[in-house]
Amino acid sequence: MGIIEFFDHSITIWLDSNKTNFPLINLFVKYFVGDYLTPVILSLMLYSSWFNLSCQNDRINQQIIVIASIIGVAVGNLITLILNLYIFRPRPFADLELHLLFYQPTDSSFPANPTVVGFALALGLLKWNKIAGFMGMFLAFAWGFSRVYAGVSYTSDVVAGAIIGVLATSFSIVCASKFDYYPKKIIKLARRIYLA
Amino acid sequence: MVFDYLLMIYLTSAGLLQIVSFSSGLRGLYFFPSSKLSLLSGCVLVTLGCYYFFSDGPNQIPDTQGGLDGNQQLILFSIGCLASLISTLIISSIKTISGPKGNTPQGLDALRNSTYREIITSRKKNKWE
Repeated sequence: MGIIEFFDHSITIWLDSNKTNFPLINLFVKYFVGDYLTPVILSLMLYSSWFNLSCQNDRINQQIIVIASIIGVAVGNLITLILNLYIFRPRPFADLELHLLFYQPTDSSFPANPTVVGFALALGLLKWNKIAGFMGMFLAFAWGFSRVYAGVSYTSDVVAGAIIGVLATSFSIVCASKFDYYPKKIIKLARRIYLA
Repeated sequence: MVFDYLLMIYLTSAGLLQIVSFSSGLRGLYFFPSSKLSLLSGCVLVTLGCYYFFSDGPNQIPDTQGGLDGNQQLILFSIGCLASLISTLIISSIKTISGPKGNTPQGLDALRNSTYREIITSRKKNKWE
């Protein structure tokens, strides 16, 4: 734990000391660190993948992945909620003197909830389309980096969040593929009204 | 904040539906008979939605001071997407798609050559025949 904390503090302090040198990165971070831009882009990409027409089987698989990704986000958030009941880690700005680029969140720093959501959605996109997936992964990574750069999360919080997000969606995709009765039922219903 | 977010989702998802319809050849979802005009309208709607929400800055408002928490965002996102989908189905149904129809395919494929109104009408017609 000591080594992780040392690395976390070193990275946060180093990034903070360079904030004045990179005004363009500061501007980029101010948008990406927020609660709206990245999740909206990722969610809209996933939403649009539902309507993307390829061959019939691929489409059904993709629509199962969309459903699984939504469940993955919910599972990831549930894991975060449970972890927050037992672990409370103060935010970097509470431990260190930083130039904050974001408001001061009051909840636990560990794990970083935005990266849980970001990577859970990005993995769903990656399973659909490589280009969209890499764009999604880049956005999720940018979101995580922005949190560290802005001074509201430590690097290990972001890494833990990414791992939880990826595992949650992977687990959901495996479950949805093995036990596809309910996802297929939803898709069948949507097909009946010409929306799947 | 609620209204701003909802409007942004409504506009961007409606625009995105036009762009996806263009790339997937879903003529039944086009706003206009011209595919290029529909694509353009999609791009305009996405830009308009983003500009409306982010033109004042990155919107860094804590959920304890009027911002939206994750659950609220999820609900508003779903409502916005659903509303834009319904609006798209209504607006795209105003026009008619000419050409041979044949048997209506299942699912989304039906929207390649017919509008939603045309599909529902033909389904009703077949039911009574």
